[in-house]
Amino acid sequence: MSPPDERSERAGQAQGVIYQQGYRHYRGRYLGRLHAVVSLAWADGKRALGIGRGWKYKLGFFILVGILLIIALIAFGTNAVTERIGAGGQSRSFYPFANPYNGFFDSANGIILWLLFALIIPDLLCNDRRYGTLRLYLARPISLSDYLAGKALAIVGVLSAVLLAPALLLFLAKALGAVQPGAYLAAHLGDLGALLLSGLLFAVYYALISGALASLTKSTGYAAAGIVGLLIAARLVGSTVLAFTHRRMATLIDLSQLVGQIKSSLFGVNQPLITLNIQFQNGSQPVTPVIVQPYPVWVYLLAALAAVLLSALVIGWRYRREVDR
Amino acid sequence: MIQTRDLSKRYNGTVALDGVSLQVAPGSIGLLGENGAGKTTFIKLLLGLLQPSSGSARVLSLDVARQGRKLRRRVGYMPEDECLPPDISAMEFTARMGRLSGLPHEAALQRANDVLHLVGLGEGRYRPMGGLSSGMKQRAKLAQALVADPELVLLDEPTSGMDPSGREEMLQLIGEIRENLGISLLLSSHLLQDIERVCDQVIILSAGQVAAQGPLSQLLGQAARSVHLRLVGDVQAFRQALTQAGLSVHGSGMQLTVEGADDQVYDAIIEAAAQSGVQLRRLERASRSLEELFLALRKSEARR
Repeated sequence: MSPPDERSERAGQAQGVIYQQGYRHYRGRYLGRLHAVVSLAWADGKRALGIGRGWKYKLGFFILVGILLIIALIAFGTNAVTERIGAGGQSRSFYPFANPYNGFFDSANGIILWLLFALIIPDLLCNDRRYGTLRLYLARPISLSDYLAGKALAIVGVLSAVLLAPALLLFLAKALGAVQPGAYLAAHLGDLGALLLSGLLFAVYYALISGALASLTKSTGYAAAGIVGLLIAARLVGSTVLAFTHRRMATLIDLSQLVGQIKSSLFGVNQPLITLNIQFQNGSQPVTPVIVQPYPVWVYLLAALAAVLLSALVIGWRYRREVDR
Repeated sequence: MIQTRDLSKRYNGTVALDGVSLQVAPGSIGLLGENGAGKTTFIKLLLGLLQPSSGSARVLSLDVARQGRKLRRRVGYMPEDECLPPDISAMEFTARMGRLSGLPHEAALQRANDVLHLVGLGEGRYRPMGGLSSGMKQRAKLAQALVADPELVLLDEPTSGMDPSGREEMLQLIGEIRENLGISLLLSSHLLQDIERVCDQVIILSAGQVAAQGPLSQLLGQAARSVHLRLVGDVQAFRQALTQAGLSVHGSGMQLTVEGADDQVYDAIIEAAAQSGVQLRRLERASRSLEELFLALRKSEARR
């Protein structure tokens, strides 16, 4: 048995915490709107990353992210080969793939990113309206703008992560694989900045366009189909018009071109449009490649800004209508 | 606690609420009305979720049109319709709602746990809400309304879709929230028994207007129309004395009912008892049920 002094000393120390279950009035402090917005974004961010979700969502998400990582590895390998045979240096200012970072967001992995947008954005935007949960959120001390800010933060955060993680992995692999990693990093700091900026730009741009489409329906299936369908249709129409007219005006039809051209400009790369010369004369159809020079970057900036503003207006209008009902 | 002045709401020319003026003290308030009477619109206006077309309203001394966010920190809301995401557990959802109301992370978890136990969902709190029964979903909706420790909860048809035993438990729970936790409540329902069971004040809405409002006992008392008596002694003589005094008497044996409930009727009863030498064992003013009052209001509404 312990001496009394020792026992009283032990009793004075915290050995654990006993919680009494049952309702008690809350005496602590209440935090502000920023806390509410961040809480909402955090919960939605976790949801978008598949945390606490069913296996179907997790499977879809991780397959798509896995493909992006594989593409990053392929890009690393092919770029190593082009550098070894000396093609990269000659064509850096012209051929987008010579700079693996520039080509990363809108080449082979473009469609994978679109599928990821279609998976994540409708899930975060449609379900709250479909199940009536939006009403409960707005019965809290937050406004509709706070709610939308939380959603935007979650979507842009997750999209930035899935866009940038494979690209940054590629950058890291190239830096570590270089003869002098320090020198490589110093020489490609501009690329790193352009990579981060363009990742954020893509995330915001596609979040708003996809968000506007998702706000038009409560069905996640319709929204997902709408997002992928619109982006594919815009690309098909833009490419077809370009093939037949050879006019750069066609680049403004393709929604992915708007942001793609801004990104190339961030990397300091001129990204011309290669199309085919299709003519129908006297029954012959000669097919030859044609290079179309794009507009100056400010034209794409203005067009992208218009698309983003229009999307924001659609989202605001749809949600305001939902709340007023 | 709730004050409104000429509060009106119109949707594209349709009047949902028309010039509602009332003043209600803290307590348990019943909001009664048929479907389409304007109950949900009234609640949404009180939460600051809708802007009034005209007039004003104050809840907990806060202007609903200008101080909606401050107000919603102190008010909980349980909507009538489905509003729970099916793939999230009640625990996670209630804690999230707490955080949105400003509770820090740990406090939100602790309080979510506490309120889920309070509403009887302690065992099922980690199950996805899509798999809960309708009664359990109603409890989860009540839990999220209470998580941030509100001073007032607005309950929109809380027993909707529940079986009789579930309804009974829910009403008991709501009664305890008022009596044991001191939280005021506004219970909107078209079920008269629910209001009668839980509330001490009532607001009756009809076609967007206040048809009647006040303490339940007063409203029912005003509508009293007879007095029940239990007697011992010469009942026949007593009955005769009352009839001679011009009163209408029904009943048989030792139990009688006298029509009318004003002071003159009471005086006549006491005088008749003295004359006939009967003992008055019980004298009780028969009040109308809320249902009778509601039907009477509807009749007078229809006559107008």
